[in-house]
Amino acid sequence: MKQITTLLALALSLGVFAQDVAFKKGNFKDDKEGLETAKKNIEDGDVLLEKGEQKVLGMVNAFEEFEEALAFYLPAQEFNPNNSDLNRKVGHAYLYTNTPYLAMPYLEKSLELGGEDSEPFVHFLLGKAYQLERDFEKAERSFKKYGTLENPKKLEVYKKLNRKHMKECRSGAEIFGVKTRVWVDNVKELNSQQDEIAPSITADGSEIIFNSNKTGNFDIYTAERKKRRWVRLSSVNSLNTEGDDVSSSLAYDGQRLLLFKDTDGQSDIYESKLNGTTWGEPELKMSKVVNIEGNETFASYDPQDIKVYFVSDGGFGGDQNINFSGKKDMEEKFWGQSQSAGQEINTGFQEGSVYMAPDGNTMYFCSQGHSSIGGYDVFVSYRDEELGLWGKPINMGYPINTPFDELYFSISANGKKAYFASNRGGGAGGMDIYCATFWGEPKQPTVASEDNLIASIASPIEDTYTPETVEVTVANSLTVFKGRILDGLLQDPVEAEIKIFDNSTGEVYAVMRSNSATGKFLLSLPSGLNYGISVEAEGYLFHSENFNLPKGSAYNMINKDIQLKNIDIGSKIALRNVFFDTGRAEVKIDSYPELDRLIQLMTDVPSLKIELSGHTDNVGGKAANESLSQRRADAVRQYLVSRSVDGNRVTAKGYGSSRPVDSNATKEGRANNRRTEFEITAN
Amino acid sequence: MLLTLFFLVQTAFAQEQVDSTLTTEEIQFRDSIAAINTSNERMQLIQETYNAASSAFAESNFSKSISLFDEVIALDSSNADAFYNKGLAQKESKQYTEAVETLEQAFSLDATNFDALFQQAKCYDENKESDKAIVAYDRLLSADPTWGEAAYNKGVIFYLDKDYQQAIAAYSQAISINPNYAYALNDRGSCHRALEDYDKAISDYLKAAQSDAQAFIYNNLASAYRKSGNTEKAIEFYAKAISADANYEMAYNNRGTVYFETENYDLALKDFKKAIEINADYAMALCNRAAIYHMQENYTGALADLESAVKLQPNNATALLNRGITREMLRNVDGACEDWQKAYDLGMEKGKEYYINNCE
Repeated sequence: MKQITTLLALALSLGVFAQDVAFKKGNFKDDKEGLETAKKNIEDGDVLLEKGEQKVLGMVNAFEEFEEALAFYLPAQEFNPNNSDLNRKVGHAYLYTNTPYLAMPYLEKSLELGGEDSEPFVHFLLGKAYQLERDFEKAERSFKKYGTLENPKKLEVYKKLNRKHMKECRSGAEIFGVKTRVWVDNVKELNSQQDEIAPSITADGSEIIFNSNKTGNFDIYTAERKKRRWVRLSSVNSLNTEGDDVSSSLAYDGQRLLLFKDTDGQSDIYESKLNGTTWGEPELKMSKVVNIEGNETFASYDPQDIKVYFVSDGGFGGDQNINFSGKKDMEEKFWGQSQSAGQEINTGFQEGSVYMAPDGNTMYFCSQGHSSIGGYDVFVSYRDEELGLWGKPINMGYPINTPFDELYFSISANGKKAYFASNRGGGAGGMDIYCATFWGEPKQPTVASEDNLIASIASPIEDTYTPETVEVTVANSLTVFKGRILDGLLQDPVEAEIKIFDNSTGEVYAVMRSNSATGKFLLSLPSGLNYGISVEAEGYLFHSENFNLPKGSAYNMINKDIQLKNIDIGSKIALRNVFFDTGRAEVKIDSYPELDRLIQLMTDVPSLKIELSGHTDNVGGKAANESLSQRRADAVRQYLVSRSVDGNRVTAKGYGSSRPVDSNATKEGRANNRRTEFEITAN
Repeated sequence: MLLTLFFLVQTAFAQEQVDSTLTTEEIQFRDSIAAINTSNERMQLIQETYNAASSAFAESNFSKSISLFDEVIALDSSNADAFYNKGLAQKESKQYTEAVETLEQAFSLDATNFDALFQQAKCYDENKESDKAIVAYDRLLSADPTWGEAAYNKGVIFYLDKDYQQAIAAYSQAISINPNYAYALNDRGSCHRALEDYDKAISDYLKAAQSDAQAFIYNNLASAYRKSGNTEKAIEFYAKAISADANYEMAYNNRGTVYFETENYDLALKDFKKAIEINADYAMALCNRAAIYHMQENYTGALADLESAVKLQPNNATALLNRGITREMLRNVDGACEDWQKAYDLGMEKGKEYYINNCE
């Protein structure tokens, strides 16, 4: 049981099973004094709430009454937050202050606490709260529900307002569905937690004047625009007094200012002029006759400054309307009677402020009527220049207008930026100044194209030139070979045929004859070849010489006398162009030309018989040398026989190192001793 | 050292002693053989050095090539080819003044080597001495009126100097030498386009394309049609450019802009995307795709592309202008103003207009 009670108490305190707690002694036994205070506060609050409500019904601004009512209600609310009626009253009061967005939680709690026993009026109030949150469908349902629940007598009083709100909801739904090309930003550098109202800018948007009650009373402030920021925020001390000082319109050139002051219980419009940097003493703007009845407050210059448009409550209904007064010309001192701006502009509801654009034919004003979507909205109307009449007002749309209050619209001459005040949520607090930036014509991004107009740049033809190489003619140096052909016996000059052979190819390189008188010969041979030289003369054995001229040999001259041997029996000829590999007995192919010449000799002289002999130097053993020399002589014989030389005409013998023709002590000598010879054995 | 010298003297003396047996005729013969030997060795050295110089050239080692050709020239001062190739190596090394002089020497040694004159002109051209280049090309054309490339290159110089009439004359000369000279036809078309004579431009581009169906020629043709207002033909020939080269991103981009201007945004987007797919660093296409995204109110996507474009080309005035526009829609007014100011500084008047109207 104790547990259930505890749970119930806990639930109650959490509001889960919220109950409407009346301000009765039985509910506050422990704090009777607090209860009495709370009840007194509620009473006082109720008086002000009623006053305020009457003003609302009379289409008159009443936020002061509601602010004051809150001052009484909120302490009572703190004492007992769970009373349906009190929650409703708190919400009600908030809705008509500059913080209407605070109303919703109280109204919802009121309905929750009261349930079916709730005051029908809470639905009307909830409708307003939903409207502020742009839940137009829900809002309209609430207003309709109110219409069905309220008693006919009270409903009669609120019928007009209820219908108005339902109309606003329909307008709101329509307007919020339309995208407008404007941004709205809170001007943080100017706003405070209190109210900032009535911003007015110069035509070029470089200066602003506005009002704030952040110090308690409303004072006039000014600021300059530098690099897209408002700077040098300062109080206009020459105009501010201990009471409320409210400016309404700055002249397009920033040199004059309209403000209103309360004199003898009535507000009138004054003008101050800028002397250097100081604002002068305000003087009555228009003739006193203009301002006989009612209060003239927020006013606007006309470009020619022969008219002033202003808000006045001096009309028949006592609600605020837009009027104007004019004079003949600038020099004229007397202003004409106040006249209504016309029925297109003024409504049966409140008109809150007016601003004439620098073109003189565009009027911006604020109204709770027309197609407002809630509270005051900003409208624009264009004057028909011919008829001089103002056209049907157009709602500036969202995001400038919301279900909250939007007032005091002022726009730059280029139409790019405008400033106004609003008590919408999300600001610094209370009424805040907002800046509307109009996008203007859409800025179209630019697309770009490009072309490769020059072919040689677009598609360069590659130049891959490389110098050609040239054929290298290997420089063969020449060796001069000169000498004489002599009879070996008599040393007489012999005219002989000299043939030069390229031993590697067997081809004849040159053929010449020695001089018959001198036996001389002279020729040049390119280096890099192995040459055979044969010398033939009639009656003589042919002679052979070998030159091996490797490449790169330096210039050389060989001077040689060649002794020819006649073909006498016993003549011996060394075959210098017969070659063997070291230690071997195979006749090398380089030897064939020489041997072929010997064969030719044998053929030419059929009676010739020869002995082929092989000889070595003295290097190595005697037996080896003899064997080698014999094998070599045999090899040469074999070659001759294989070439059809009668074997009977050729004998072969190896003499080893026994018959040297030169010294074995020198390399050259040993080379000369290593030879193949043939000897004429018969002729 | 002294011993070596003594030995050499002895050898020479010994040689001389041998030589003292020679007759006058034999001495003369011997000397002639010696001269032949020296000449042959010299010739071999010249040829080997020349080939080494050529190899160095082929390996792009131009300083070495120049040095070796100098050696050849030192051995054989009448070697026109060595002068010519040395000149080319100097040109490759951007030693243009020296190259011109060397090539002149080559030509003086071989007056049939018109290549030397051509390369001289190219030296002036590459060294941005346009007037001298023109004179050099004219000299070549006087010597050999059939040198079409000389006339063409003249045309390019005039075109880049924006002297379109002279350029047309030069290209026409090249075309008269070779009526199928696609490059000259293309470039002459570009001259006509610059002079806004689009019919002539189209005619030349068509002939160029018939001769050499390269993508850039089709692209130029398409752009000429576009300039003349014939968007249908423009699209047709951009497609042909793409057929000629499936990776010619420029044609995709250009066709995309035609689609954009005719409000076929889906097709435009497709083309810009393709251009970027081919070349992810194609700043112009990134900028253009951003324009589509902006039109579709995809400002975040547009900004991403524009950031890339500006990063690639910090002085791209169009990209900066467009980024400013997108930044404005994203409420970065300071950033937008900064971009428009810069766009104006880079010569875009629209930047000034936007800055004045929105930033002051």
